[in-house]
Amino acid sequence: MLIIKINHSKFMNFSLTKLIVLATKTSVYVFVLSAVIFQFALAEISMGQEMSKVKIDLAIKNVELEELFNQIEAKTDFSFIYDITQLPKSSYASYFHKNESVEDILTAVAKKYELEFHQINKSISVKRVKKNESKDPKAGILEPEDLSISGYVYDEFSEPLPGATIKIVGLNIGTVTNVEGYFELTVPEGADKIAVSFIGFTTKRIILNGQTTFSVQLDLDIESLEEVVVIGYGQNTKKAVSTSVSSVSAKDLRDQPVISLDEAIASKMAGVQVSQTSGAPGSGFNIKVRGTGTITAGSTPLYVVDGVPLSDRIQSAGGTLESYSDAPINPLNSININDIESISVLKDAAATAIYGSRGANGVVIVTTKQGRNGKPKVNFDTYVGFQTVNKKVDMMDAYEYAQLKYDGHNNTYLDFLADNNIQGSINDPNSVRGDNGAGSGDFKIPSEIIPYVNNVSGLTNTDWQDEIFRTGVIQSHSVSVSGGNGQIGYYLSGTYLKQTGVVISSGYEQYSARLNLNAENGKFKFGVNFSPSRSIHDRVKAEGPYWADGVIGTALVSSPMFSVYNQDGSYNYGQQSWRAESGESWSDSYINPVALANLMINDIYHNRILGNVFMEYSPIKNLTFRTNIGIDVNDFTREYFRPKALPNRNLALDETPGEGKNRTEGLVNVVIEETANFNIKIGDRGDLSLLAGITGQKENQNENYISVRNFPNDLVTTLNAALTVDNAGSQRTSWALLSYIGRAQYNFGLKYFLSASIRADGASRFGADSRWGYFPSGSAAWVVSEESFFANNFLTFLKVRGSYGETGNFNIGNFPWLTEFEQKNYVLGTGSGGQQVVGVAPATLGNENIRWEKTATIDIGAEIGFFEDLVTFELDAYRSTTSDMLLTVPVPEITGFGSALQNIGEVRNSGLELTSNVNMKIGQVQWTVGGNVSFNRNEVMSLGTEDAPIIVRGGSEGALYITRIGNEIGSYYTYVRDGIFTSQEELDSYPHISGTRVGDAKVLDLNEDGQLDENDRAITGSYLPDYTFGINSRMSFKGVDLSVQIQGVQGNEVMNLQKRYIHNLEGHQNNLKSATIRYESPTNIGNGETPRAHKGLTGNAGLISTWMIEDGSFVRIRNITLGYSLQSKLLERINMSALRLYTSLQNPFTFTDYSGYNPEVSGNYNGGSALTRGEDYGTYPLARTITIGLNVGF
Amino acid sequence: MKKIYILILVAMIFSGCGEKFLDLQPESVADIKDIYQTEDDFNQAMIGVYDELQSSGQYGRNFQFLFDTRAAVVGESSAGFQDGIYYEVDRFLMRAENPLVQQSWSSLYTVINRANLMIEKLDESSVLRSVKTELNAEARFIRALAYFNVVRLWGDAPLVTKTISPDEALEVTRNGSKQVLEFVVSELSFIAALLPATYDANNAGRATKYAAFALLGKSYLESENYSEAASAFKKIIDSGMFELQENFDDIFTIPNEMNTEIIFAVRWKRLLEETNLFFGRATLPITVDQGFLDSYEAGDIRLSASSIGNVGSYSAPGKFVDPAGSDGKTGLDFPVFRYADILLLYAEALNEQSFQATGEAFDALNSIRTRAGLAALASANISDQQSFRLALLEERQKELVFEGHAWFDLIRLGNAQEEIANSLGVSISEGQYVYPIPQSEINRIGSTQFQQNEAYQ
Repeated sequence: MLIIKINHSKFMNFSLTKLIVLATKTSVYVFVLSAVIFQFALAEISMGQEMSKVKIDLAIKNVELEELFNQIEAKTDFSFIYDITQLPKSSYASYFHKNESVEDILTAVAKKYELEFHQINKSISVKRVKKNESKDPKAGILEPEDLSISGYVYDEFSEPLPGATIKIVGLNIGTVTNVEGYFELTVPEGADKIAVSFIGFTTKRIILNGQTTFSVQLDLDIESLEEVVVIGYGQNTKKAVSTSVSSVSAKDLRDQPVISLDEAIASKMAGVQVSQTSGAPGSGFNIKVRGTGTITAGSTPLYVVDGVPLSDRIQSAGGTLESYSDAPINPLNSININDIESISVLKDAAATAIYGSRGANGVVIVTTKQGRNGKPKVNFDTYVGFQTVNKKVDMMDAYEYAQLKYDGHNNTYLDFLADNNIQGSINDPNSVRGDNGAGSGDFKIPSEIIPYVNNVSGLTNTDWQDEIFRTGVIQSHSVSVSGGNGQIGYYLSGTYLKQTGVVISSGYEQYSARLNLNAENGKFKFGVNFSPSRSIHDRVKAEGPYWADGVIGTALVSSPMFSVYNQDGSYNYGQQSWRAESGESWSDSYINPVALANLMINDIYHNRILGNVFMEYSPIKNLTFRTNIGIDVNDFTREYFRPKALPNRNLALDETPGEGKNRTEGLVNVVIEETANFNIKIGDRGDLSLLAGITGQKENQNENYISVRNFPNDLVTTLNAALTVDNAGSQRTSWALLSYIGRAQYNFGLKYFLSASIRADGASRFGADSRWGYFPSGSAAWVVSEESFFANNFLTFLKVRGSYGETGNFNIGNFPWLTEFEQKNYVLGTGSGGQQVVGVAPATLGNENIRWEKTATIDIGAEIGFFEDLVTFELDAYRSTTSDMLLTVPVPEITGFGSALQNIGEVRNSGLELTSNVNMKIGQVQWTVGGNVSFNRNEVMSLGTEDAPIIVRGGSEGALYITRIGNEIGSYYTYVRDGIFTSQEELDSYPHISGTRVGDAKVLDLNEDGQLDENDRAITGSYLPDYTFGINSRMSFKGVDLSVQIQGVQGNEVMNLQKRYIHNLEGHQNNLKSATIRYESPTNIGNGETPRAHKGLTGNAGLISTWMIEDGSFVRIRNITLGYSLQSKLLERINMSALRLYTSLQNPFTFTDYSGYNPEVSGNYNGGSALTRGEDYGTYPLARTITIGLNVGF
Repeated sequence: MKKIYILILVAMIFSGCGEKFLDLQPESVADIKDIYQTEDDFNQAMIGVYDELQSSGQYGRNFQFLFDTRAAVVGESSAGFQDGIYYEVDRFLMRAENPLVQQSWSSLYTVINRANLMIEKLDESSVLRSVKTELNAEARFIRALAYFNVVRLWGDAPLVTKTISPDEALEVTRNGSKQVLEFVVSELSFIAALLPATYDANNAGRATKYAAFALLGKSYLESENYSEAASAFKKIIDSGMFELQENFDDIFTIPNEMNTEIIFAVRWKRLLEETNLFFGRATLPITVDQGFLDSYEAGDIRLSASSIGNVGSYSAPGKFVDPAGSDGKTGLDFPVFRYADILLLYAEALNEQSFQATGEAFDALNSIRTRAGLAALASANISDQQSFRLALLEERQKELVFEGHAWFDLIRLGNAQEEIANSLGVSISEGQYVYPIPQSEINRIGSTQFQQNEAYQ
C-alpha cells in the first residue's frame, strides 16, 4: 500500500485528498474548493536549485529516515516523494551536519540504506536500489532529466478539466492541468505509465510508449469517493466525511424535463424518498429523509440554497381557497436545474446537528454554479416535451353504467317490496312503483337509461377522462454565460419554462434569472448569488372529490350518458339537473367537469428574489472569517373566480351567485451568518479544522384576503364587480432564530477522522425559559485501507464510520407557548336584530414550557471500494429516536380546552441503506450502474402518560387513522372485507349490520364477539413503505450516451377513498370497469368480491374497509435518455465547445397493481399532518413526457 | 489578532441583542398579557364570554336536541342520518361516545373557563370598582347558567370555579348535583343585586338582574324549593318591565328582537353571527310529531309557528325560520328566558306549594292561553294540583316547543318514564334522565375518580 507524504498548505481547508499533493513550504497554495482545483504547477517552479547547491545545518538524534526527510523539507524548498514500505525498517540513526549540501547528506544516506534519490524540479523521489546495482556512492543520486510530456484533459462534453491530476504510475511524480486543461510533466527514464484522474471522474491509465503529447478524455464517475460533498457550513471530500451524506452533482441532474430539482433526484439517493404525490404543474413533492420521525411538527427536510435556509412556509403560501386542500407549491421551483452545481442530503444527526433545531428531518443543501477562470463560456440548454397522462382509470362506458344503474334501482325496489311484504317485480313501471308506496327516486327507473339498457346503438357515450385530459407541452430554454479572470468569476443565466398541463386549463410558467459573482483581492473574497424569478401557476382544482369541485373526481363519477356540449356548443349541464327531472337523489348531481376546469379562474402568481452576499477575509493564511447575508423574498397572489355560468351542486342551476376570492401573501426571510474557520496542523500528520459561528434568521409573513359573491355577470372577474363582500382580513406574524455553532474536525494521516459539533439555537417559537436548545454531535471514521498492514489489490478502499447526534424540530406554529386570544364576537343592542360587537376569548391553552422536539440518531456505516473504486459500496445502519414530540394532545375539557400542545411521546425510525456503484469499461463502452436500497421501520414508542392511541379521521367520516404504540405513525384503521355474502345461509350465520343482504359485502367480525361494530376495526396498512430502491445506469460509447433511472417503492398501502364513489355499485356515480363483474344472482356471483348493485348504502356497504385499501407498491422507469455529443475535433472546426442532442422519456412506465392514477398519491385531509397521509380522493395524474433537447456550449 | 477581537466584539453585540431578537410578539392575535388591562379590554373579554353561548354545543344547536327532542313533541330523526347521533338521543340509545354530549360538555366548560378567567383577571385589575363589580356579576351569571345546564344534563359534575391547568384537571372529581345547584343558587342570590335592571339600547341583551332572578327561580324549582322559586319569579313579574307580546308571532321576528317578553336570549345576527339550527330550517331531518300537531286546540294561533307545513310528507318546525335565510341559516335570537315561560313557572311554583282554585296561578296560565287565542280555564276544568300540573305541562309544550324546555318540563311535571313508554314503546330508567359523561373526558381524567353515570356504565 502506498503512503503519500503530504506537505500541507496552510490555506487548505481540509487536507484530505488522495491526490498527490506536492507543495513546497513557501510558494504554493492549494485549494480544494468545490469541484475545481486550482492549478498548482510544479513544472513552473524555477529549476535553479540543485541539491548540490543548497546547504543546510542538521542536528537530529536517533530518528527514522522519514524524520530526516521531514527535517530537510523543513529547511529547504525540497520535498520528498516515497513509498514508506520501500524505506528500510527500524533504521534509526543520528545526523549531525554543518553547512553541508543536501546532495552530500543524501549521498551518505543512499549509500547506507541502498536508496536512490532522483530530483525532478523540487521533488526528490526516493527509491530502493536493486541489489548489485549500486557501486558508486554518487550513483545513488541521479541528475535531473528533462524528458517531458504534455497533454490536454477534457470531459465527455469536450470541456477542459482544469485541476486534473497526472501522475506517473509507481513513482508518485505528478502535476495538474492548468485552467485550459493543459499539462506538462517531466517523466524520468523508465517510467512507462501515467494515470490521469479528476474528482468525480474515473481514473484513466495511459501507457506512454514513447508518445509525448496526449489528449485525454475522462469519463464521469457517478458517485466517486473523491467527490466533494457540501456539508453544513463547509465542504469535504466524500472520502473524508465521517457522517452519512448523499450527494448528486450537476451532471446527474441534466436532461430531465422537470421543473424542480426534487423530481430530478428521485431514486438517486438511498434513504431519501421523493414522492410525486400530484402531477399538477409546479406543485411540490413529498421528501422524506429516513422515514417520519414526527407527528405534529413538520416533517419536510430543511432546504439550504447557497447558505440560505428556505422557509418551510412556502409550500402552503399559495393558500387554500376551497374546502379541500390544494396541491402545495414547490419551494424549489424557482431554482433552475441548469444552475445547480451539486445537491447534498445530510442524513444522520451527526451531519445535520450543525443545523440544530431544524435538522431532524434531514437537510438538503443546494449549491449553485460559480464562474470558473477563463474566457466567457456560453451554454444554451433547450428542450421541448410532449406530455400525456401516464395512466387512465378503467371506467365503465355508458351502456355498462346504465345497466348498473338499472340493476341498482331494481334491487333497491325489490328490497323495499320484501321489507313491506308487497308483491311486485322489476317489470313494474314507475307508476306502479309509486303506487306501491315507493316514494323515493331510488326505486324508480330514470327513463334516460332505458335505451342504453335496451342496447340501442349510437347513443352518447362520453369518456370524461378523454375530455379533461390532453397532450400538454413542456418547454424550457436556458442560457448561461460564465467565466472569470482569476480575480473575478461570474455565472449568469436566464431561463424560461412553460408547461401546459395534461389536465385541461392547467399550466405553469416560470421566468428566472441568476447572477453569481465572486471576486478575490488578496486577503478578501466577495461574492453574490442573486436569483429573481416569477412563476404563474394556472391551476385547476384537480385534488379532492366531486363534492369539492374536484375536476378529476367529477370526471370519474360523471355519467358517460351525457355529452360535454349541447348542440349549440354550450356546456351541457344535464347531469346537474337530472335529479330534479327524474326524482333521482341528491348524489347524482354533478357539474360538467370540462366546464368546471375551463370556467374557473384559479391562478397563483409567485414573485421571488432568492440570494445572498458574502465576504471572506483571511488575516492569516489558515484563518478565514466569513459573513454571509441571505434573503428569500416571496410574494404570492392568488386569484380565484367561480362564474355565475358555472352551476353549484347545491343550488338550482340559475342561482349560482358568482364567487371570487383574492389572497396575497408576503414572506420575507433574512439570514445573517458570521463564521470563522481555522485550520491548524498538529504534529506531523494531524490536521485540525475549527469552525465557530453565529447566525440569526428571521421570517416575516403577512397575508391579506378577501372573498366576495354576487357578481352581476361574468364579464368582470375581479372582485370590484361583486355586490357582496363575505369576508376580508389581514394577518401578520413572524419568527426568529438565533444560533451559535461550533465544530472541530480532526484527521490523522488521512486514516483517522474525528468530528464534533454543537449548535445552540434560540427560537422565538418557545417561551423565554425554554427557548434555547443544544444540539451536539460526534462522529469518527477510520480508513482501514490506508493502514500499512492493509495490502489488498482487490479491496482497495475501506472506511468504517460511526456517529451520534441530536437534532431538533421547531416546525410548529409561531407562538404556541402563548395563550392566544382570538376575536369572538357577539350581538347586542336593539333594532334590526342588534349589532355585532367585537369580543375576544382565549383560543389556545398556552404552554410556556413547550420546548424542542429532539431526535437522537446513531449511525454506523461503511464505504468499500474494489479495484480502485471500480466497484463501490456504501452501507449505513441507523436508529433515530424522536422524543419530546411536539404533539397536540387531548386534555380534560374541564380546563376549557380540548387540546394543548405538549412535549409528549417517542417515535423510532430504524433502517438500513445500501448504495453501490459499478464503473465498467468494456472496449469503448463506458458503463456506470448505480443502485440504492433503503429499508426503514417506523415505530411509535410512547404517546404521553396514558399512551392512548391517537385516532384521527381522514377525508371521510369512517376513514380512520390510528397512531398506536408498536405500530407505524398514521396507520389505516378500518374494517376488513372478505368478499361478499353469496348465500342466505352464509348471511344468516355471520354477523353483519342489519339491512345487509345476499350479494352485499361481507365484513369480518374480527373480535369474534358475534356482532359487527367499531371494535372490529384493525390496522390495515400504512402509507410508509417497507423499502425503496433506485437504479441508475449510464452507458456511453464514443459520443452516444444512454441513461436509465428506475425508482421502486414497496410495501406501502393507499387509502383509495375514490372507491367510495367509483366502486360502490350504487349507480349514482360511474364505476370502475371491474364493477361489471358484480354479484347478479345466487347462480351468477361475479368474482365473489364485487357486491351487487344497490342505490343506497345499506348494511355493510357503507363501511370503510379494506375494499378501499390498496397495495401502493410500484416500480417506475422514471427516465430514459439517449444523447449524442459531437466529438471535440468536429467541435473545434465549428468553433463550439459542446454540442449535444438528446431525447428523453420521463415516467414512461409504471408497474403497479394500484387502480388509481398514481400510487404515490398522498392526499391529506388534515393539511400536512403525518397522522393522516396516503389518501386518494382525487389527484392530478402524473405525466408521461417525451422530450427532445439540445445543449450547446461556446 | 485585532480581527479576532473585532469578531468577538461583533459576537458580543450580536448576542447582547440576542434575547431581544427572539422576543417576538404575535401581531394579529392578542396574547393574554395584552388583554385584561383597560376597561375596554374587559368589556371585550366579556363579549367573548357571551360568545360561547352561540356555540353549536349549546344554544347554537345541541341544546335543542338534548333539551327538546326526547319529549315526544318532535318527530324521530332517522337512524341513518349522521350516523344516528340524533336518533340515539330520541330513542334513549345514548352512548358515551355520542358527539353531541361531548360537544356540549366541551362548550359548557369552555364558557365556564372564560368566566373564571374573567373573574380572576378582574380581581387583579385596577379598573373602576363599579365596572369591576358589574362585569364580575355578569361573568358569574354566565357561569351559573352554564352550571345550571351542566347539572340538568349530567347530574353530578365537577364544580370548577377557577382556571385550572391540564395537570390540575387530572385531580378533579365530580361534585354532587345538589352541591352544584346550591352553588348556582348562592351565586345568583348574590349577583342579582349587583346586575343592572336594564341596559341602554346598545347593550341590550346582556344579563340583567331579572335574568338572574329567572335563573334563580328555575334553580330553586330544580331543587324543589317552591316558595323561594315563586318569590324569585314574583320579582320579575312585579318589576313591571316585562309583558306578553300581543301577537304571538311577533316574539320571533328579527325587527322585534329583545322585545318586552324577552328576559334573556342568546343572540344572533344574519350573515355576521348566524347559526345553523336544524330547528331553524324548513327542511328535514327534524320534524314535528304529527300527534303533537294534532293535539293543538282549534284556534290556537301557535300551531302555525310550530309547523311551517310540509316538506315531503313531514312537518318541520318553523319557530326559528329566518325568512331571509333560505340556506338554512338563521339570524333569529334564541330566547333562554321569556316572560311567558316565567309566568308558567310562577304558576307551577305556586301550584307545587298548594293548589288554589283561583288566583295568581290560574291568572298566569290563562294569560298565556288567551294570548294564544284560547279560552281561559278555571277550577271547573282543572280541579286539583295534579290536573293543574298536567295543564301546565301541556301549555308549556305548546307555548315553548323548540325553546329548550320540553324534556325538563316532562321530568318535572309529568311522568317521563310512562310518557316515553307510551310514545316510543321504550322502557327507560330514571338514570337515563341524565346523559352519559362523554367517554373522551373519562378517558382523559381516568375512570376511577371520574365515573360514568350509572345508567351508562
